[in-house]
Amino acid sequence: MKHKFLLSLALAAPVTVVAQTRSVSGRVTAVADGTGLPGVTVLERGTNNGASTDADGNFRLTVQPGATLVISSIGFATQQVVVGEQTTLAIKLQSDQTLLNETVIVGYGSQSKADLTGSVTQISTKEVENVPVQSFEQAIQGRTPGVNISQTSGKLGAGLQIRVRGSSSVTASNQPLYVIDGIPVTSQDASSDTEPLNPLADLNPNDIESISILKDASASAIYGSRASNGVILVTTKKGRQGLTKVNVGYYVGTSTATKTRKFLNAAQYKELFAEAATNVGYTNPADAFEENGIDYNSTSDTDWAGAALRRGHVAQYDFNVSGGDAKTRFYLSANYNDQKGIIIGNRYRRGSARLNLDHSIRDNFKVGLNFSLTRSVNDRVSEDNAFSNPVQLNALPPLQPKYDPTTGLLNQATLYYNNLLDQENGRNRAGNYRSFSTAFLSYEPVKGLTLRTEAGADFLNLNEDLYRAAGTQDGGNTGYGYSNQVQVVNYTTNNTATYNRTLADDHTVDALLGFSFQRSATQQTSAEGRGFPNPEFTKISSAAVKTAGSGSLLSEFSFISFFGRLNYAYRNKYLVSGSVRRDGSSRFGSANRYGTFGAGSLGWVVSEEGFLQDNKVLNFLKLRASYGVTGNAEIGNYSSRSLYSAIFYADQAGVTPTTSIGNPSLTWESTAQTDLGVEFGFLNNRINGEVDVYQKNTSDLLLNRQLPYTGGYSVVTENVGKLRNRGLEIALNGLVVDKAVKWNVGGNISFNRNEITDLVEPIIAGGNTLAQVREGEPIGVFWGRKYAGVDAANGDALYYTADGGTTNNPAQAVQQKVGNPNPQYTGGLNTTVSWKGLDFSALGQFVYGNDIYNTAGVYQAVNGDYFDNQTVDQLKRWQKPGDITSVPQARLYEGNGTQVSSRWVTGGSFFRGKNFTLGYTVPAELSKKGYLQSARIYVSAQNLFTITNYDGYDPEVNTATFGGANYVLGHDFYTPPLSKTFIIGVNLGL
Amino acid sequence: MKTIFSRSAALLTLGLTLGLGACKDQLDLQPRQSVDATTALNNADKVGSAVVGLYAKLDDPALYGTQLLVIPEILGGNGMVTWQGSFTTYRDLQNRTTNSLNGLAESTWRLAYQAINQANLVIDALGVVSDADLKAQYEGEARFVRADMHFELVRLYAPQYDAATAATDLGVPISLTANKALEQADTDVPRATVAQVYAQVITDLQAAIRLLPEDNGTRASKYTAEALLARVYLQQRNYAAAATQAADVIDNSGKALSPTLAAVFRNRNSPESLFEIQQNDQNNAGTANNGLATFYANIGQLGRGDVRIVGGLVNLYEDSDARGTDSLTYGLTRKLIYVGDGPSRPDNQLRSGKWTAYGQNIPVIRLAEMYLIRAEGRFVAGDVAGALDDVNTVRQRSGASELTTLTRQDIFDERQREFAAEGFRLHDIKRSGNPLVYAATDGSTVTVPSNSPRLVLPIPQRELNVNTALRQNASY
Repeated sequence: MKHKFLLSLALAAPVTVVAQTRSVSGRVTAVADGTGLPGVTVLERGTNNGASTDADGNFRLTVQPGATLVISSIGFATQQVVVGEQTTLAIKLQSDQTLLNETVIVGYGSQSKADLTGSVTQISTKEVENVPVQSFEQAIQGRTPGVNISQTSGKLGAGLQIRVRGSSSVTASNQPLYVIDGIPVTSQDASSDTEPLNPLADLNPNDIESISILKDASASAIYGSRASNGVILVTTKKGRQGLTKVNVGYYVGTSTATKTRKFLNAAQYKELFAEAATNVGYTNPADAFEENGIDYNSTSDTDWAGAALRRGHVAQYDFNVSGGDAKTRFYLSANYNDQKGIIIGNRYRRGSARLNLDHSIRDNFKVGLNFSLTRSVNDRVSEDNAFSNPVQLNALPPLQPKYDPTTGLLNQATLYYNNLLDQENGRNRAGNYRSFSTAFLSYEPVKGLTLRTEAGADFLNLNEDLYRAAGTQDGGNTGYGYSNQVQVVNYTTNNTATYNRTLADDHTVDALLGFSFQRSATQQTSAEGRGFPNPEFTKISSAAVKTAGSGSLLSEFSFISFFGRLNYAYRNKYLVSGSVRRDGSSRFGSANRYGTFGAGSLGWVVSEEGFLQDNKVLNFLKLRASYGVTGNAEIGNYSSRSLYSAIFYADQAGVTPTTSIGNPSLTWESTAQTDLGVEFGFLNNRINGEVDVYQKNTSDLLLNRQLPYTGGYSVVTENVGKLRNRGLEIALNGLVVDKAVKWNVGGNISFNRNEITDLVEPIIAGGNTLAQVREGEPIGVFWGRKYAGVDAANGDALYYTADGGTTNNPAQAVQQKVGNPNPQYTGGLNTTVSWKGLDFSALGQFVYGNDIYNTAGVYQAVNGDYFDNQTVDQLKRWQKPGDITSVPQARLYEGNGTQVSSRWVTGGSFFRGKNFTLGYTVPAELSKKGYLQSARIYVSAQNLFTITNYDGYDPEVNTATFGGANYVLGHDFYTPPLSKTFIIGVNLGL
Repeated sequence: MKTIFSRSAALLTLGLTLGLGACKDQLDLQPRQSVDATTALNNADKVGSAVVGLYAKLDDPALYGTQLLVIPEILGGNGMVTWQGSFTTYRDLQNRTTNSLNGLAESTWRLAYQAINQANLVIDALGVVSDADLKAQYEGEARFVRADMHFELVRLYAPQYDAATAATDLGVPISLTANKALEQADTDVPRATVAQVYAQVITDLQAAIRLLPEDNGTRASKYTAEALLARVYLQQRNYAAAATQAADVIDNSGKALSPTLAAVFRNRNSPESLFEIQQNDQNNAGTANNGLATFYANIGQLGRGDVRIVGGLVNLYEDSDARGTDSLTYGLTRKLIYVGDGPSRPDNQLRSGKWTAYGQNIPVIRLAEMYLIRAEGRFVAGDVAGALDDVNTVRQRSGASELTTLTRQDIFDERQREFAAEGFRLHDIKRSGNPLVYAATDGSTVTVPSNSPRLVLPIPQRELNVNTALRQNASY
């Protein structure tokens, strides 16, 4: 054994005395313009021996005889060069838009794009760097076919809605599994507020090397019971052998709302409400105003809606160093990001540091550590439904002044709470400490076989601190405080063996076998108090009464998994892949603790066939097909059990059974997905693209079934119900001009159709929403009364009845489908142009065919039914017989058209100028005079313009205030708009 | 080469196996804020906790926390109280226009059966309690709760017990099994007859009387069970049996009337209290959308003032009666009905002074009721002097003049005076056979027969949907 071990070392190691090594040097240039390419990886094939080129494209390396060099760089076709007897090499790299030889990160490994038989979207560091957002997902909107990323609110750090190929669950989570450097991380909101925070904002986007989104079963089944919603793999940057690179970046900018909304001014307000009062019999309309504390003769004309918004400010300081030698590579970064939001009181700050280190103990034995620490502080805005939400200021009458004219202090005698008081007398802060860390050991006992063990931890420590002084609404007479500490500790270990071998030049085998264990524990301790001596005391210790919000909680889950994958390629032409995973989880019922998931796929690289090999036009064509079954295990940690919980009887504690009875057979939801794809490249890949069609059938949906109360329980959670997603994704990219000027144009479009195919009974979100889940309809279908406009004869609001007629009695209106919050298609367009040192890029994002329900319409666009300020369109109210309008007659308090109905449903399609960046890279000769390796200055605009028919603030909206259920989609409720941000920045390489 | 491969594979396998052995238990994660039902009641202490839980359940707003005391005041309370709150569930009850979707009818039904199942689970688990006295006490308490809940259900959701028709009138489902598994919980139980339900209630109470200690602190004692049995017999119009039980409680329980009726509600566990739900400022039936003080009180910011006391009740009291009103606000009044002064309601409206703090205890059975039950029993048996004695005992305490003559109606009126706002009204109307008569807002007189199906709650629609063995009440 020892002998052979040494021998195998000798075979692999270039520096052992046995082998004759030689030194080679060379320069890598671009075919297009002949300039030297910096940062190109030059690797001796089959080894870890490599170097990267310097600023002019030069490299030097010691290799074994007969060595082949693999030269690769993002954006260029990888080239293999046989060294032979040469000592100096001139290598010209062809730019490659399909990145066919690009390595794609997949579950527990990587694969070349050409060999891939699954559907994976990969995004590189370029798209996420230096974009003024909080979390990387915001930066890739519009770049991800099949993945709809939607911001739900303009609040900084707010949770996002991400749907990989549609919603595949009604009650369990629809968010993808996030894996950072091999470790599944905590991506569920840990905060106590109704509105979620995005836990992924703790990752500095500038640290990301690549993002891989696994979409079909073939790609994702290796994650088994957690793959149905897709998997997002994030890989952070690593150091490369070669010159140490130092980068310093800074940007600064300002932001405003993407869109605002117009409300009545004082004169219009008086006109509308005086008419509304007169219409219901007030002889002196001023009386109606007085009854509500509004001075009819006030001279104020306050822009309350405008008071909620302000000019924001963003800045980022970024620093990173990377490099290394043959033994040790490192990447070190520090970043500070500060965003003052466009909503008053909203600010997000994040400081983060990262060290990614890897070291070759021997040539076949590596150890590494990725370690990061982030501190973020989010000064939050109250949830949409709170009177303290600044956007709700738009309901206040313009006749009421912001400040009390006699005292000069904020006016407290307003129709609703003047929440500007909160700005001066409280705070709502979520502070986070986060660490994503992974350590690994990898060993290659024989060529092609790699044993790897890695252990990772994700620590999340959230500290929420809310204080409202006496005199504010929440503070009441004595002040209110809430403090919440949440700790989420998430450990994972992955142990894998991979074997990669090409036999007889024709058969390539890539096999993976692995075992993984994960455990996550969430602990929460909260304290709540009322009765503070005065507003200088803000901690709960100073509160006279500790109230019922105090407590501590612990919740846990674990997964044990075995998995394997086999990829086989015959002459890189016929590709076969299969993967399987067996998952056991504490979440599954005792009768169903383990589940097996798997997928198989086939690929045919048609362009490798003789009849296409020398085709001048079509240079690449691959067909692929996959089928597999995956699961969704986000079913709650203890849903399968019958439980007893504590119940209190004055000062004694007792126990009582919970009202949901256990179901020992409870299990994951399963999704069977079929995918057919074609990838192609024309004209030396200058035009290339990818088209996929898929069908995802989800069964065993987790739904509650009602039980007779007489048995003592209310519901049992069971695996019943089915839904389906079908879709088409197209991505196209073309290098239009490839000379000194390079012009690239790309775009993608995705269609997804969701349908609930089996449901025992409709699920009605209720309240003021229109959201329902119904068999035969897409998830979250808008279902309710259909508004039929206004009776021209008398100004009554009308609704449609079952027979197609109209009625002014809402109780007689028929409930029907009145909208669909799911878009017909989504996508993006992008273009980049570069010429000499100048570069320009533009990204557009579009969403088409979805509906939005403005849930606040019943208060703010309701023809003066109550004294809430109204949107200006309400001035078009019916006034006299014969008036043709859709706004009913203004009748104070009479509920003319106030019913929840399609009256406030509007199309939510939009096209957004997402990102425009213009940069200038100073010529190397010039920057070197300033002792710089490189220097780039750029200006960038995020969300520059938004084209939409939506009459609310921003069409990219979904309030979380109605419980955040998966099926409440496209609802707007005093939700703040996104921000339009302009920045100017500089990046220096030292 | 091959050896290395196979050995590495062996090593990996070994590693996996070792790792696995250590991990296997890791899938058995126990919840921390709750415990698994299989071990929740496996020793005497745990069963004791479940018994405390039974009482806690009774404090739920759907039971004695609010609804079991408010529903019988509102439904049938016309002329005595007016519901002026925003909840349409109560308004519809008072107007007798409700339907089977009424949320109050659904939640009271739900919680009562939850309490019944919990009582069954306690009885089922008694095997682990080795101390004989403790075991008897727990069983007695569980049977008391089970009887009480079946009784409350049958008198709300079924017609009044009538000896002639009780064997055929539909009562409510009887639940005596400890449901632990889905198959048990998912059983469609049909409605038993009214007679069967009363028989079960009486059986359980007689057992409870035998099992419970004479003194059980603030929890149900032998005399609590006797007092409830007196109430049950009274509702059945079995006056003799009711009087016997009441007399035993009066003579032997050691309870005595409090010096004032107000003291019963201002203090906790007064000497007159036979069964009282314990609450405090932290654990109570509610302060915003539930709770007796929430609905009844209107004292500054305290309470919503949803239930208003009106003429029919106020006029029942003499000036000297401390249970009446002196038209003063709560801070100034010396009586049990005060003028509300909260900003949410107009001035000069009358409110009951029984429910004035969110965390106050809720007396469910008190000694005064035993005197009036015995009075009724004596009256029916022809002992008018004895009946007068009992009625005057109750009147005297509140400064009302002594009666010298007595009619059945006098006893009913006295019950109304004494137990106003305590959930007696509807049940007394149904038992008495006297129609509900009151003046409508337009001045016309409305007469509702005591056996009107509209004075019975609907079986919840949700329950009918799930349990096909159930039948709806008349008129719903």
